[in-house]
Amino acid sequence: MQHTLDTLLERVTAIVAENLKIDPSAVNPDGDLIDDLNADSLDALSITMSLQVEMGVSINDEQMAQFRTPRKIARALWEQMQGDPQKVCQG
Amino acid sequence: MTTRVVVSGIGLVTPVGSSLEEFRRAIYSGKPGIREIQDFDTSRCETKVGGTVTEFNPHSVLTNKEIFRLDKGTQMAVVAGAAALRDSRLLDNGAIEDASELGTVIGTGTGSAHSVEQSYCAFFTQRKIDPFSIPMGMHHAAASYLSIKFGLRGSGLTVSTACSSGAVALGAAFHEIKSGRSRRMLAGGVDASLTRTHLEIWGSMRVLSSQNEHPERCMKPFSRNRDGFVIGEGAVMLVLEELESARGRGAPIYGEVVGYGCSSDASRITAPSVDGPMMAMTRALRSAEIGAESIDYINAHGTATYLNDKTETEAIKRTFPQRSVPVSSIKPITGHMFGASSAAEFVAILLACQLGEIPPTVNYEQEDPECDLDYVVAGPRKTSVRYALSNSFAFGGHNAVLVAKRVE
Repeated sequence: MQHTLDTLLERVTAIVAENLKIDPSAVNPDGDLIDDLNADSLDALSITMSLQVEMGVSINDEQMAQFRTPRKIARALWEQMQGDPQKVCQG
Repeated sequence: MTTRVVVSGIGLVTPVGSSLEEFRRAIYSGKPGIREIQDFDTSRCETKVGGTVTEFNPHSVLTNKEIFRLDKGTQMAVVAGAAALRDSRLLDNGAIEDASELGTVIGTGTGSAHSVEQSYCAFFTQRKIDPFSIPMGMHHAAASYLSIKFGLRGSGLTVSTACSSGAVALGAAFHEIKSGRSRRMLAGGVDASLTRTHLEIWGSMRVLSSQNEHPERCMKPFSRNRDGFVIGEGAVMLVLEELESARGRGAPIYGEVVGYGCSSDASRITAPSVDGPMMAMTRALRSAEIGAESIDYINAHGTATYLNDKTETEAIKRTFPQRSVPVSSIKPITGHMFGASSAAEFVAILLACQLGEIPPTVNYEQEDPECDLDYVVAGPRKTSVRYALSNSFAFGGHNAVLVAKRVE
Protein backbone atom coordinates (compact mmCIF):
# COMPACT_ATOMS: atom_id res chain seq x y z
CA MET A 1 0.00 0.00 0.00
CA GLN A 2 1.03 3.58 -0.51
CA HIS A 3 1.38 5.37 2.79
CA THR A 4 0.19 8.81 3.69
CA LEU A 5 1.67 10.51 6.73
CA ASP A 6 -1.45 9.49 8.68
CA THR A 7 -1.34 5.81 7.73
CA LEU A 8 2.37 5.81 8.45
CA LEU A 9 1.73 7.19 11.94
CA GLU A 10 -0.89 4.51 12.45
CA ARG A 11 1.60 1.76 11.54
CA VAL A 12 4.37 3.26 13.66
CA THR A 13 1.98 3.42 16.62
CA ALA A 14 1.03 -0.22 16.09
CA ILE A 15 4.69 -1.29 15.88
CA VAL A 16 5.58 0.64 19.03
CA ALA A 17 2.63 -0.94 20.86
CA GLU A 18 3.53 -4.42 19.65
CA ASN A 19 7.13 -4.09 20.81
CA LEU A 20 6.21 -2.66 24.19
CA LYS A 21 3.32 -5.10 24.67
CA ILE A 22 0.78 -2.38 25.31
CA ASP A 23 -2.53 -1.50 23.70
CA PRO A 24 -2.15 0.85 20.68
CA SER A 25 -4.68 3.19 22.29
CA ALA A 26 -2.16 3.72 25.11
CA VAL A 27 0.42 5.12 22.70
CA ASN A 28 0.28 8.92 22.54
CA PRO A 29 1.66 10.00 19.12
CA ASP A 30 3.53 12.78 20.86
CA GLY A 31 4.56 10.77 23.92
CA ASP A 32 8.26 10.23 24.51
CA LEU A 33 9.19 6.55 24.05
CA ILE A 34 11.58 6.55 26.98
CA ASP A 35 10.08 9.04 29.39
CA ASP A 36 6.39 8.32 28.78
CA LEU A 37 6.30 4.76 27.52
CA ASN A 38 9.14 3.38 29.64
CA ALA A 39 11.06 1.99 26.67
CA ASP A 40 14.74 1.20 27.11
CA SER A 41 17.55 1.26 24.56
CA LEU A 42 16.91 -2.32 23.47
CA ASP A 43 13.21 -1.58 23.00
CA ALA A 44 14.18 1.33 20.76
CA LEU A 45 16.47 -0.96 18.80
CA SER A 46 13.78 -3.59 18.49
CA ILE A 47 11.23 -0.98 17.26
CA THR A 48 13.79 0.27 14.73
CA MET A 49 14.39 -3.26 13.45
CA SER A 50 10.65 -3.86 13.07
CA LEU A 51 10.30 -0.58 11.14
CA GLN A 52 13.19 -1.51 8.85
CA VAL A 53 11.66 -4.89 8.03
CA GLU A 54 8.12 -3.59 7.53
CA MET A 55 8.92 -0.36 5.69
CA GLY A 56 11.90 -1.62 3.76
CA VAL A 57 13.98 1.35 4.89
CA SER A 58 17.43 1.60 6.35
CA ILE A 59 17.72 3.49 9.64
CA ASN A 60 21.15 4.51 10.93
CA ASP A 61 22.17 5.24 14.55
CA GLU A 62 21.89 8.99 14.07
CA GLN A 63 18.30 8.72 12.80
CA MET A 64 17.42 6.26 15.56
CA ALA A 65 18.58 8.74 18.20
CA GLN A 66 15.98 11.20 16.85
CA PHE A 67 13.16 8.68 17.18
CA ARG A 68 11.72 10.06 20.40
CA THR A 69 7.98 10.05 19.63
CA PRO A 70 5.80 8.06 17.19
CA ARG A 71 4.99 11.26 15.29
CA LYS A 72 8.67 12.14 14.90
CA ILE A 73 9.39 8.60 13.71
CA ALA A 74 6.53 8.73 11.18
CA ARG A 75 7.67 12.13 9.92
CA ALA A 76 11.29 10.94 9.50
CA LEU A 77 10.17 7.83 7.64
CA TRP A 78 7.81 9.89 5.47
CA GLU A 79 10.63 12.22 4.48
CA GLN A 80 12.91 9.30 3.74
CA MET A 81 10.26 7.65 1.61
CA GLN A 82 9.61 10.88 -0.28
CA GLY A 83 13.26 10.95 -1.23
CA ASP A 84 13.22 7.35 -2.36
CA PRO A 85 10.10 6.55 -4.44
CA GLN A 86 10.94 2.85 -4.41
CA LYS A 87 10.11 2.71 -0.71
CA VAL A 88 6.74 4.43 -1.01
CA CYS A 89 4.93 1.34 -2.17
CA GLN A 90 6.26 -0.88 0.53
CA GLY A 91 4.86 -1.52 3.94
CA MET B 1 29.78 -14.86 68.52
CA THR B 2 28.93 -17.46 65.86
CA THR B 3 26.57 -16.29 63.14
CA ARG B 4 23.55 -18.55 62.82
CA VAL B 5 22.06 -18.65 59.31
CA VAL B 6 18.37 -19.45 58.94
CA VAL B 7 15.83 -19.75 56.15
CA SER B 8 13.17 -17.07 56.60
CA GLY B 9 11.33 -17.23 53.31
CA ILE B 10 10.46 -19.84 50.70
CA GLY B 11 8.99 -19.39 47.21
CA LEU B 12 8.38 -22.16 44.72
CA VAL B 13 7.16 -22.75 41.20
CA THR B 14 7.02 -26.51 40.67
CA PRO B 15 5.09 -29.19 38.77
CA VAL B 16 3.14 -29.86 41.98
CA GLY B 17 2.16 -26.27 42.64
CA SER B 18 3.45 -22.84 43.47
CA SER B 19 2.98 -22.69 47.21
CA LEU B 20 4.85 -24.33 50.06
CA GLU B 21 1.64 -25.99 51.21
CA GLU B 22 1.02 -27.62 47.80
CA PHE B 23 4.64 -28.77 47.65
CA ARG B 24 4.45 -30.20 51.19
CA ARG B 25 1.21 -32.01 50.46
CA ALA B 26 2.61 -33.52 47.26
CA ILE B 27 5.85 -34.85 48.72
CA TYR B 28 4.20 -36.29 51.84
CA SER B 29 1.17 -37.77 50.08
CA GLY B 30 3.38 -39.10 47.29
CA LYS B 31 1.43 -37.45 44.48
CA PRO B 32 3.75 -36.78 41.49
CA GLY B 33 3.38 -33.87 39.09
CA ILE B 34 4.57 -35.95 36.14
CA ARG B 35 2.31 -35.84 33.12
CA GLU B 36 2.17 -36.14 29.36
CA ILE B 37 3.97 -33.21 27.71
CA GLN B 38 1.48 -31.02 25.81
CA ASP B 39 3.65 -28.01 24.93
CA PHE B 40 5.27 -29.53 21.85
CA ASP B 41 5.17 -32.55 19.59
CA THR B 42 6.81 -35.51 21.30
CA SER B 43 6.13 -38.04 18.54
CA ARG B 44 9.85 -38.43 17.82
CA CYS B 45 10.84 -38.53 21.49
CA GLU B 46 11.16 -41.79 23.32
CA THR B 47 10.16 -40.06 26.55
CA LYS B 48 6.86 -38.22 26.27
CA VAL B 49 6.31 -37.22 29.89
CA GLY B 50 7.79 -34.61 32.20
CA GLY B 51 7.33 -32.56 35.31
CA THR B 52 5.56 -29.70 33.59
CA VAL B 53 4.38 -26.62 35.44
CA THR B 54 0.70 -26.28 34.56
CA GLU B 55 -0.57 -23.60 36.90
CA PHE B 56 1.98 -20.86 36.52
CA ASN B 57 0.73 -17.28 36.45
CA PRO B 58 3.56 -14.81 35.77
CA HIS B 59 1.04 -11.96 35.46
CA SER B 60 0.80 -11.88 39.26
CA VAL B 61 4.30 -10.37 39.34
CA LEU B 62 5.31 -9.40 35.81
CA THR B 63 3.90 -7.01 33.20
CA ASN B 64 3.06 -8.13 29.65
CA LYS B 65 6.24 -6.54 28.38
CA GLU B 66 8.38 -8.26 31.01
CA ILE B 67 6.82 -11.62 30.18
CA PHE B 68 7.56 -11.02 26.48
CA ARG B 69 11.19 -10.12 27.23
CA LEU B 70 12.06 -12.78 29.81
CA ASP B 71 12.80 -16.46 29.35
CA LYS B 72 10.31 -18.90 30.88
CA GLY B 73 12.87 -19.89 33.53
CA THR B 74 13.58 -16.27 34.43
CA GLN B 75 9.85 -15.66 34.81
CA MET B 76 9.60 -18.63 37.17
CA ALA B 77 12.60 -17.41 39.17
CA VAL B 78 11.13 -13.92 39.57
CA VAL B 79 7.72 -15.27 40.62
CA ALA B 80 9.34 -17.68 43.11
CA GLY B 81 11.67 -14.91 44.31
CA ALA B 82 8.74 -12.57 44.90
CA ALA B 83 6.98 -15.28 46.90
CA ALA B 84 10.08 -15.90 49.04
CA LEU B 85 10.53 -12.18 49.72
CA ARG B 86 6.86 -11.80 50.65
CA ASP B 87 7.01 -14.90 52.84
CA SER B 88 10.00 -13.50 54.71
CA ARG B 89 8.13 -10.23 55.33
CA LEU B 90 10.71 -8.35 53.27
CA LEU B 91 8.43 -7.46 50.36
CA ASP B 92 5.51 -5.32 51.35
CA ASN B 93 3.42 -3.35 48.85
CA GLY B 94 6.20 -3.46 46.29
CA ALA B 95 8.92 -2.10 48.58
CA ILE B 96 11.75 -4.23 49.90
CA GLU B 97 13.20 -3.61 53.31
CA ASP B 98 16.96 -2.93 53.11
CA ALA B 99 17.07 -3.86 49.42
CA SER B 100 20.49 -2.27 49.12
CA GLU B 101 21.86 -4.98 51.43
CA LEU B 102 20.12 -7.94 49.82
CA GLY B 103 22.24 -10.12 47.53
CA THR B 104 21.26 -12.78 45.01
CA VAL B 105 22.90 -16.06 44.14
CA ILE B 106 21.07 -18.29 41.71
CA GLY B 107 21.96 -21.72 40.39
CA THR B 108 20.94 -22.93 36.95
CA GLY B 109 22.12 -25.88 34.95
CA THR B 110 20.72 -25.18 31.52
CA GLY B 111 20.20 -21.41 31.72
CA SER B 112 17.57 -19.79 29.52
CA ALA B 113 16.97 -22.85 27.37
CA HIS B 114 13.76 -21.74 25.68
CA SER B 115 15.12 -18.34 24.62
CA VAL B 116 18.42 -19.70 23.37
CA GLU B 117 16.67 -22.36 21.35
CA GLN B 118 14.17 -19.89 19.85
CA SER B 119 16.94 -17.45 18.92
CA TYR B 120 18.95 -20.04 17.03
CA CYS B 121 15.84 -21.46 15.39
CA ALA B 122 14.75 -17.99 14.16
CA PHE B 123 18.25 -17.22 12.91
CA PHE B 124 18.90 -20.44 11.06
CA THR B 125 15.44 -20.86 9.57
CA GLN B 126 14.44 -17.23 8.85
CA ARG B 127 17.69 -15.26 9.26
CA LYS B 128 15.76 -13.34 11.90
CA ILE B 129 17.63 -11.48 14.63
CA ASP B 130 16.21 -10.18 17.90
CA PRO B 131 18.39 -7.78 19.90
CA PHE B 132 16.85 -9.19 23.07
CA SER B 133 18.33 -12.63 22.41
CA ILE B 134 21.41 -11.98 24.54
CA PRO B 135 19.72 -10.50 27.65
CA MET B 136 16.99 -13.13 27.45
CA GLY B 137 19.35 -16.03 26.87
CA MET B 138 22.23 -15.24 29.19
CA HIS B 139 22.81 -17.72 32.00
CA HIS B 140 22.56 -15.04 34.67
CA ALA B 141 19.27 -13.59 33.38
CA ALA B 142 17.37 -14.82 36.45
CA ALA B 143 19.79 -13.34 39.00
CA SER B 144 19.95 -10.12 36.99
CA TYR B 145 16.23 -9.66 36.69
CA LEU B 146 15.56 -10.50 40.34
CA SER B 147 17.97 -7.70 41.18
CA ILE B 148 16.40 -5.29 38.67
CA LYS B 149 12.80 -6.14 39.59
CA PHE B 150 13.21 -5.77 43.34
CA GLY B 151 16.10 -3.28 43.51
CA LEU B 152 18.41 -5.79 45.19
CA ARG B 153 21.85 -4.20 45.32
CA GLY B 154 23.88 -6.67 47.33
CA SER B 155 26.31 -9.09 45.71
CA GLY B 156 25.00 -10.85 42.62
CA LEU B 157 26.14 -14.23 41.43
CA THR B 158 25.06 -17.06 39.14
CA VAL B 159 26.47 -20.54 39.50
CA SER B 160 26.14 -23.34 37.00
CA THR B 161 27.10 -26.83 38.11
CA ALA B 162 24.36 -28.78 36.33
CA CYS B 163 22.12 -30.71 38.74
CA SER B 164 23.80 -29.39 41.89
CA SER B 165 23.48 -25.71 40.87
CA GLY B 166 20.77 -24.84 43.39
CA ALA B 167 22.66 -26.45 46.27
CA VAL B 168 25.88 -24.67 45.30
CA ALA B 169 23.95 -21.38 45.21
CA LEU B 170 22.53 -22.01 48.67
CA GLY B 171 25.99 -23.00 49.90
CA ALA B 172 27.46 -19.78 48.51
CA ALA B 173 24.71 -17.74 50.18
CA PHE B 174 25.31 -19.58 53.45
CA HIS B 175 29.03 -18.71 53.33
CA GLU B 176 28.26 -15.11 52.34
CA ILE B 177 26.19 -14.60 55.50
CA LYS B 178 28.29 -16.78 57.78
CA SER B 179 31.40 -14.79 56.87
CA GLY B 180 29.64 -11.50 57.60
CA ARG B 181 30.00 -10.22 54.02
CA SER B 182 26.21 -10.07 53.57
CA ARG B 183 23.31 -9.77 55.91
CA ARG B 184 20.66 -11.38 53.74
CA MET B 185 20.61 -13.35 50.51
CA LEU B 186 17.93 -14.46 48.07
CA ALA B 187 19.23 -17.80 46.82
CA GLY B 188 17.99 -20.85 44.99
CA GLY B 189 17.81 -22.67 41.72
CA VAL B 190 15.92 -22.53 38.46
CA ASP B 191 15.70 -24.57 35.30
CA ALA B 192 13.01 -24.62 32.64
CA SER B 193 14.48 -26.70 29.86
CA LEU B 194 11.59 -28.89 28.80
CA THR B 195 12.06 -28.24 25.11
CA ARG B 196 11.93 -30.75 22.29
CA THR B 197 15.67 -30.62 21.68
CA HIS B 198 16.56 -31.02 25.35
CA LEU B 199 14.14 -33.92 25.65
CA GLU B 200 15.63 -35.69 22.63
CA ILE B 201 19.23 -34.99 23.67
CA TRP B 202 18.73 -36.19 27.25
CA GLY B 203 16.93 -39.21 25.81
CA SER B 204 19.92 -39.98 23.58
CA MET B 205 22.08 -40.15 26.72
CA ARG B 206 19.82 -42.98 27.93
CA VAL B 207 19.16 -41.45 31.32
CA LEU B 208 15.43 -40.79 30.87
CA SER B 209 12.66 -43.14 31.84
CA SER B 210 10.47 -44.12 28.91
CA GLN B 211 7.57 -45.63 30.84
CA ASN B 212 5.17 -43.20 29.21
CA GLU B 213 2.01 -45.15 29.85
CA HIS B 214 2.14 -44.44 33.60
CA PRO B 215 3.64 -40.93 33.97
CA GLU B 216 3.21 -40.78 37.74
CA ARG B 217 4.88 -44.12 38.27
CA CYS B 218 7.81 -43.87 35.86
CA MET B 219 10.60 -42.65 38.19
CA LYS B 220 11.60 -45.40 40.63
CA PRO B 221 14.64 -44.38 42.68
CA PHE B 222 16.58 -47.26 44.27
CA SER B 223 14.14 -49.82 42.87
CA ARG B 224 15.71 -52.63 40.85
CA ASN B 225 13.45 -51.92 37.85
CA ARG B 226 14.40 -48.21 37.68
CA ASP B 227 15.12 -46.88 34.20
CA GLY B 228 16.02 -43.22 34.72
CA PHE B 229 14.46 -39.86 35.47
CA VAL B 230 12.06 -37.49 33.76
CA ILE B 231 12.80 -33.81 33.20
CA GLY B 232 10.97 -31.34 35.38
CA GLU B 233 10.85 -27.55 35.33
CA GLY B 234 10.64 -25.02 38.11
CA ALA B 235 12.22 -22.44 40.37
CA VAL B 236 12.79 -22.55 44.11
CA MET B 237 14.02 -19.46 45.97
CA LEU B 238 14.88 -19.03 49.64
CA VAL B 239 15.73 -16.07 51.82
CA LEU B 240 18.75 -16.80 54.00
CA GLU B 241 19.71 -14.47 56.80
CA GLU B 242 21.12 -14.22 60.28
CA LEU B 243 18.80 -15.65 62.95
CA GLU B 244 18.32 -12.51 65.01
CA SER B 245 17.62 -10.43 61.92
CA ALA B 246 14.78 -12.80 60.96
CA ARG B 247 13.44 -12.91 64.50
CA GLY B 248 13.52 -9.14 64.77
CA ARG B 249 11.24 -8.85 61.76
CA GLY B 250 8.87 -11.56 62.89
CA ALA B 251 9.67 -13.63 59.82
CA PRO B 252 8.94 -17.36 59.75
CA ILE B 253 11.99 -19.48 60.56
CA TYR B 254 11.93 -22.74 58.64
CA GLY B 255 15.22 -24.09 59.90
CA GLU B 256 18.90 -23.41 60.23
CA VAL B 257 21.53 -23.91 57.56
CA VAL B 258 24.47 -25.38 59.44
CA GLY B 259 26.71 -27.08 56.92
CA TYR B 260 27.80 -27.09 53.32
CA GLY B 261 30.35 -29.27 51.59
CA CYS B 262 31.31 -29.66 47.98
CA SER B 263 33.75 -31.71 45.96
CA SER B 264 34.70 -32.62 42.42
CA ASP B 265 34.91 -36.19 41.21
CA ALA B 266 37.85 -35.40 38.92
CA SER B 267 36.86 -38.57 37.16
CA ARG B 268 34.41 -39.07 34.30
CA ILE B 269 32.15 -36.48 32.73
CA THR B 270 28.84 -38.28 33.32
CA ALA B 271 29.52 -41.43 35.37
CA PRO B 272 29.29 -40.69 39.10
CA SER B 273 31.99 -41.74 41.54
CA VAL B 274 31.71 -42.98 45.11
CA ASP B 275 34.54 -41.01 46.67
CA GLY B 276 33.46 -37.60 45.27
CA PRO B 277 30.03 -37.66 46.97
CA MET B 278 31.67 -39.11 50.12
CA MET B 279 34.06 -36.17 50.26
CA ALA B 280 31.20 -33.70 49.85
CA MET B 281 29.13 -35.34 52.61
CA THR B 282 32.15 -35.53 54.93
CA ARG B 283 32.96 -31.86 54.31
CA ALA B 284 29.35 -30.87 54.94
CA LEU B 285 29.39 -32.69 58.28
CA ARG B 286 32.69 -31.03 59.17
CA SER B 287 31.27 -27.65 58.19
CA ALA B 288 28.28 -28.31 60.49
CA GLU B 289 30.67 -29.39 63.26
CA ILE B 290 28.76 -32.61 63.82
CA GLY B 291 29.54 -36.28 63.47
CA ALA B 292 27.86 -38.70 61.07
CA GLU B 293 25.83 -40.11 63.98
CA SER B 294 23.92 -36.82 64.29
CA ILE B 295 22.18 -37.07 60.90
CA ASP B 296 18.59 -38.29 61.20
CA TYR B 297 17.59 -38.14 57.53
CA ILE B 298 19.27 -38.00 54.13
CA ASN B 299 17.42 -36.61 51.13
CA ALA B 300 19.17 -38.43 48.32
CA HIS B 301 20.06 -37.12 44.89
CA GLY B 302 18.16 -40.28 43.85
CA THR B 303 17.75 -39.77 40.13
CA ALA B 304 16.61 -43.34 39.46
CA THR B 305 19.42 -43.95 36.99
CA TYR B 306 21.15 -47.28 37.43
CA LEU B 307 24.53 -45.69 38.17
CA ASN B 308 23.52 -42.79 40.41
CA ASP B 309 21.44 -44.83 42.82
CA LYS B 310 24.04 -47.56 43.08
CA THR B 311 27.01 -45.23 43.67
CA GLU B 312 25.07 -42.91 45.96
CA THR B 313 24.05 -45.90 48.08
CA GLU B 314 27.69 -46.95 48.37
CA ALA B 315 28.83 -43.40 49.18
CA ILE B 316 26.21 -43.09 51.94
CA LYS B 317 27.14 -46.48 53.40
CA ARG B 318 30.82 -45.53 53.56
CA THR B 319 30.12 -42.06 55.00
CA PHE B 320 27.73 -43.45 57.62
CA PRO B 321 29.32 -46.82 58.46
CA GLN B 322 28.03 -47.06 62.02
CA ARG B 323 24.31 -47.02 61.41
CA SER B 324 21.60 -47.01 58.80
CA VAL B 325 20.20 -43.51 58.25
CA PRO B 326 16.71 -43.16 56.70
CA VAL B 327 17.00 -42.10 53.06
CA SER B 328 14.43 -40.88 50.54
CA SER B 329 14.24 -39.19 47.16
CA ILE B 330 11.47 -36.77 46.20
CA LYS B 331 12.51 -36.55 42.54
CA PRO B 332 9.67 -38.84 41.36
CA ILE B 333 7.30 -36.12 42.60
CA THR B 334 8.75 -33.14 40.72
CA GLY B 335 10.85 -34.79 38.03
CA HIS B 336 14.45 -33.70 37.78
CA MET B 337 14.24 -29.91 37.79
CA PHE B 338 18.07 -29.75 37.67
CA GLY B 339 19.11 -26.52 39.43
CA ALA B 340 15.68 -26.13 41.00
CA SER B 341 15.65 -29.71 42.32
CA SER B 342 18.60 -29.27 44.64
CA ALA B 343 16.93 -26.20 46.16
CA ALA B 344 13.55 -28.00 46.39
CA GLU B 345 15.22 -30.92 48.13
CA PHE B 346 16.76 -28.56 50.66
CA VAL B 347 13.22 -27.32 51.34
CA ALA B 348 12.25 -30.99 51.83
CA ILE B 349 14.85 -31.47 54.58
CA LEU B 350 13.74 -28.24 56.25
CA LEU B 351 10.18 -29.60 56.30
CA ALA B 352 11.37 -32.96 57.64
CA CYS B 353 13.14 -31.19 60.52
CA GLN B 354 10.19 -28.93 61.21
CA LEU B 355 7.46 -31.57 60.97
CA GLY B 356 9.35 -34.55 62.39
CA GLU B 357 8.35 -36.57 59.39
CA ILE B 358 10.32 -37.92 56.43
CA PRO B 359 8.75 -37.72 52.95
CA PRO B 360 8.69 -41.06 51.14
CA THR B 361 10.34 -42.32 47.97
CA VAL B 362 7.38 -43.17 45.79
CA ASN B 363 7.24 -45.90 43.14
CA TYR B 364 9.67 -48.21 44.94
CA GLU B 365 8.76 -51.66 43.65
CA GLN B 366 11.66 -54.10 43.73
CA GLU B 367 14.55 -54.58 46.11
CA ASP B 368 17.97 -54.18 44.56
CA PRO B 369 20.92 -55.90 46.27
CA GLU B 370 23.11 -52.99 45.16
CA CYS B 371 20.78 -50.48 46.82
CA ASP B 372 20.41 -51.67 50.38
CA LEU B 373 19.89 -48.63 52.59
CA ASP B 374 16.99 -47.83 54.89
CA TYR B 375 14.84 -46.21 52.17
CA VAL B 376 11.63 -44.64 53.37
CA VAL B 377 9.22 -46.11 50.84
CA ALA B 378 5.82 -47.02 52.22
CA GLY B 379 4.47 -43.58 53.02
CA PRO B 380 6.01 -40.88 55.19
CA ARG B 381 7.84 -41.85 58.38
CA LYS B 382 7.27 -40.04 61.68
CA THR B 383 10.55 -39.57 63.52
CA SER B 384 12.42 -36.83 65.27
CA VAL B 385 14.71 -35.07 62.77
CA ARG B 386 17.21 -32.72 64.37
CA TYR B 387 19.78 -32.71 61.59
CA ALA B 388 19.13 -33.64 57.96
CA LEU B 389 21.37 -33.74 54.93
CA SER B 390 20.57 -33.15 51.25
CA ASN B 391 22.72 -34.63 48.48
CA SER B 392 23.05 -33.10 45.02
CA PHE B 393 25.43 -34.52 42.46
CA ALA B 394 26.00 -33.42 38.89
CA PHE B 395 27.32 -34.29 35.48
CA GLY B 396 30.86 -33.02 35.40
CA GLY B 397 31.36 -34.42 38.89
CA HIS B 398 30.38 -31.37 40.95
CA ASN B 399 28.90 -32.60 44.23
CA ALA B 400 27.19 -30.35 46.77
CA VAL B 401 25.75 -31.31 50.15
CA LEU B 402 23.79 -29.13 52.57
CA VAL B 403 22.98 -29.79 56.21
CA ALA B 404 19.93 -28.31 57.94
CA LYS B 405 19.07 -28.24 61.61
CA ARG B 406 15.74 -27.89 63.34
CA VAL B 407 15.48 -24.55 65.09
CA GLU B 408 14.95 -25.12 68.80
